[in-house]
Amino acid sequence: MAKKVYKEQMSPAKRKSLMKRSIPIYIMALPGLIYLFINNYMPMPGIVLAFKNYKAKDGIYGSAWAGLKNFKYLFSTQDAFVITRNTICYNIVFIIVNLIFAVGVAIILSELTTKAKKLYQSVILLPYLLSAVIVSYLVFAFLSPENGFVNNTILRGHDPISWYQEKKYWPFILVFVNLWKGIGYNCIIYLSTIIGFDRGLYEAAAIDGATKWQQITKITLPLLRPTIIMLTLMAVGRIFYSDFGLFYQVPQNSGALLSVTNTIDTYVYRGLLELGDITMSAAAGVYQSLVGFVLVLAANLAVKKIDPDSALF
Amino acid sequence: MKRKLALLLAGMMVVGTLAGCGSKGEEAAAPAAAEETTEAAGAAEEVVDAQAADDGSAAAAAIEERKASGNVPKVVIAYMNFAGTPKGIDRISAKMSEITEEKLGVDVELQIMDAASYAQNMNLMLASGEQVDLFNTVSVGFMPCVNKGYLMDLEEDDLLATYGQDIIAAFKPLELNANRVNGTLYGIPVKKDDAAGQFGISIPQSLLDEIGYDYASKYKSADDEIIYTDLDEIEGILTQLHEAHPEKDTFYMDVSSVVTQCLLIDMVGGDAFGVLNDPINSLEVTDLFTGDQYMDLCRRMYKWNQMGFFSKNALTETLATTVQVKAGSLMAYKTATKPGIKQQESNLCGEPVIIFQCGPDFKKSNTYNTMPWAINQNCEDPVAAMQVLNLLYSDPELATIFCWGEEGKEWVETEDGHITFPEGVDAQNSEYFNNVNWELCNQFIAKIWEGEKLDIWEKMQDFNDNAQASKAMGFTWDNSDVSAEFTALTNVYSEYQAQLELGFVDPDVVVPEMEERLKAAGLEKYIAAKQEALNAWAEANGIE
Amino acid sequence: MQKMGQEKRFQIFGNIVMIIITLAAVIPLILLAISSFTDNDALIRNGYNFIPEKWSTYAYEYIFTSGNAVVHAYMISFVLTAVGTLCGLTITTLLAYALSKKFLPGRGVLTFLVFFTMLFNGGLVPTYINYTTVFGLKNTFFALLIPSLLMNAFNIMMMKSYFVTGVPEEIMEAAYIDGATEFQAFFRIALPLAKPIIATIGLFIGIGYWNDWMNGYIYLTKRTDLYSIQNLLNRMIQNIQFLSTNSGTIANANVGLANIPAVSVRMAMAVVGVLPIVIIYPFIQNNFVKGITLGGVKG
Repeated sequence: MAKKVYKEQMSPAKRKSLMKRSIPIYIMALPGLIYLFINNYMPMPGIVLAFKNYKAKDGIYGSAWAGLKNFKYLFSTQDAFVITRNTICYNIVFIIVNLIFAVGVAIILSELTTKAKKLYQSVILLPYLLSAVIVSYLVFAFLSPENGFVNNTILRGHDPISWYQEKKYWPFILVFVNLWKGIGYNCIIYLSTIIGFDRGLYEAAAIDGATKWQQITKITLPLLRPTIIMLTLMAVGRIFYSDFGLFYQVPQNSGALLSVTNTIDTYVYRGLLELGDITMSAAAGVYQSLVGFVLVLAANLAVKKIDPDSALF
Repeated sequence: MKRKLALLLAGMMVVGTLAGCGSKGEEAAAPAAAEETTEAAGAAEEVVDAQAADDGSAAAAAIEERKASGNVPKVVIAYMNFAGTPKGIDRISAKMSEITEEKLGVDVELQIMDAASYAQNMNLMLASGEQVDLFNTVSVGFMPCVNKGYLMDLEEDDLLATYGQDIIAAFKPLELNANRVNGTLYGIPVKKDDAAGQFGISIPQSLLDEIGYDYASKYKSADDEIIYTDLDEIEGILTQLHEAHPEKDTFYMDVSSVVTQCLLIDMVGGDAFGVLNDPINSLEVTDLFTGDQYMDLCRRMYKWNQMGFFSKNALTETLATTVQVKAGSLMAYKTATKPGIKQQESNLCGEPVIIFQCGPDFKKSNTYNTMPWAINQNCEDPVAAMQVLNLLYSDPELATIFCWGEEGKEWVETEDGHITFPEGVDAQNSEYFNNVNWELCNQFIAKIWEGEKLDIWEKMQDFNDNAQASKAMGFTWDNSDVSAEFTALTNVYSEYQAQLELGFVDPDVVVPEMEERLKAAGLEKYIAAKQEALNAWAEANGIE
Repeated sequence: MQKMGQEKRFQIFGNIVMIIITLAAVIPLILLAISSFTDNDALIRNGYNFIPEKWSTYAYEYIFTSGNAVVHAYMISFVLTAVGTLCGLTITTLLAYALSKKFLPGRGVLTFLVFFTMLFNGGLVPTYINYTTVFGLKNTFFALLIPSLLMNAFNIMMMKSYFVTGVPEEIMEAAYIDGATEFQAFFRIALPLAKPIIATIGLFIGIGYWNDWMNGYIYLTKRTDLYSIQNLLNRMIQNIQFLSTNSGTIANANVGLANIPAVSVRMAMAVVGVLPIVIIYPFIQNNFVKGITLGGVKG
């Protein structure tokens, strides 16, 4: 608002100079905007697929309208419930587990005095950089039923477990793999926030006789609170999205595990590419976008309340 | 539509000229098409079979008109292999085009995709309207394609009757009709082993020698490759093998193929929920798991497992059986038999094997529609596509290139009429060695690779013709109305399948438990829906 | 005295925890590397193991023999990553810089346009149709380069935040008043100051390209000679799955199964796929942390 008023009050000369300054900036923005147009906005009308009775013969836009039939179909099957449940539950667990570990590791790292500190920090970030395909190879090396490290070494002599057939283990495996992959990245922000704290507070506390544990719970955690809240809210905004590679590649797309590994993203992908069910997966995509949109708005509103500067828009 | 009309008109005109002036018209025709036109003109003059003459000439006329127009339409052919696009794909496309251009005035382009991505890529191509004219529906799924409207009605404007006469000649009506959905023909089956010998067992010859088993006297005739026997006999052999080598695994079979390849049942529609337990005589859809055949098999496997035939790891095995035999860790395994099986399994195991068979040769209801060839409904020139398909089923030279590649580069002829790799070429460095001829239209007319008997395809035809066939032959099952039940049933079954069928649990205890859960998941509803569809199909096709 | 002991205890405890976590991060990679050097038969017999019964370099010999697809795919991966990172970084930086200019008319609208793409997209089929029929990218190198990976809204937002917080407006204004053009100011002042975020986003984009298999999977049907190393790896997993689940319906499935490279070869390919990341990462690691910190808080 304030900006607008300011602009209206500008003299013509100032406006001219503003335009002169803006033109080079627009030129800079242009390549990126063109790419956004091509990559994101040109296919966007394809969203109508969700409301169509698609026949390849008639094309996307020529196919007859189907109203909300695709959505009805999506919600009448059990799938909608399963994929929504999986997506949300996994994300909630991920958020909590990742938060605990990331903050914990960040605090430990910040207090350590050894030179190995740097090494720890670098190495734990490494898994974050691996592709889902590679991660799935790693997991397979451990869990492969006949050759896997776990069945062959840890469980040697016991009945082997067919990991890729047994649903009950996967919620834990997925949470663990997600934590393993993300911990280094997740702790960076907390770590750098902690490093920014005034060390004087700790020294004063130490002089007052506070134990390490007290310092952590009474100083570090309260100071970290805004960061924790904000990052958590951001994650909540993405709660309807899932890491495709984690849920598709890592369980090796195993059919027996579907009820615990199927999320909205993998469902859309399977519907689209394996079953060729274009409209239903488009409907699922729209469902995801809409709910995601609402959640992002809500999260943003919350962030705005807590820390207006950090709001997305 | 306009173009089709014009084509038809042009066709009629040429027929007229040909019929009227006989050999004069023939001279005017391009030499390349001479063969066809002679045939057509001759037939037309004889007017013995007016219908056939008309169709033959229409086909010739289409070629004629296409050549006269000067532009060569391109037909894109897609299929899958296990290694991705071969290096020689463009050269083979060009080689095939030489023939199709000469005979049809059409070019072909191959698109060969990996099994891993074939379904995905085809779905995208079909949905987006990219050019792909002829494709094999394996992995993409025949029924899903039909449901989505991807496939062309092959009899629209008499397409098949007019331009695909060699295809019609290559199959029995029943074989083609199996690809009808609600009366509309969408696919053309592949010429392959249509039946499968049930419960075949393969054991290396050296091991049988070791236990002193006299297999030589068990063959019915000298050139037999299979010993027909029963499971009690096999049990005896396995017991001896187990005694001789307790350190090796005695027997193994892939879990995914136990029900399909060991029992004389027909899993109508391709799933285990509601099957024909007496497929040769009855169309009654009943429960597989409480049927005698299934229970007997599970009890037998339970016994074998108690006797120590199976590896402790059997439940989680994913290595190919033949690889295990080759590595020396396994002694006998189940295989589906067919002519040439002995050679095939011996090659895979790296030593001669003896093949036993405990069940009959049997043809299932979905034999002809698991992987038919189809024309994309988006195809711009269905006539050209159909003519190319027709040629793939009838032209030995074209079929040989399609299956095996180019002479001199991928294969050379041996003295006795086989073909084999040229000097310095092997399966690894060959630029076109797909190993998927069971998918490629008509391998029966292609040349025969060294190692197979030269009469393999006659034997195969006999085998196909003599096998017992399911009464529901040709039935296609669309389970989209009960897909929720299907998912639930599959989930329950997959929990028990491997343990039961490899004998790790007592079937008399576990089958009732599974049955209870299956019922809760809607087994009865699913079976009823299947029966209803089967009845409707039987009525429409006049089968009692 | 007691405090010293407490501090010491904490240090020991902290080190132990971090050593465990660090080991957890590298042990799978070590297992992967060891299995790639294990004799294939031993691998099948005894399974994956840290101390193999028999060592072998067969897998690497197999990969690096001439004419093998792996080396070629490796080259493709390198070229793709280099070109993609360069182009992606350029347009991302320019756009993010533009969006960070508070005086720019229409900035709010543009930012929203960028942000909007985080929420809604046309879906795979319309995107596929767009790139294949409108732009004809199918079966070309550009199909690996252009779709989805070049630039994304998340990176732009992160970089924009960095420009806002890490490059003070006053310095830019001062430069401008001193007579520098916008371009000069950007190149001489903003870019050097933004080095950490450029390294970070560059690493993100580069990792994105190096690890991508989706584009090749979808857009390369005929030119599988353009497959990147990740595509080859992915293809092998998928083929094994396909063959083992379809052995009942597809005759000769075991013929195909027998042709898939040995387990140790697959592991060696995975090692080869990870190696560049392990080598390059330490060089940008410092900038990486700073970049994420300053850009990341604002998402």
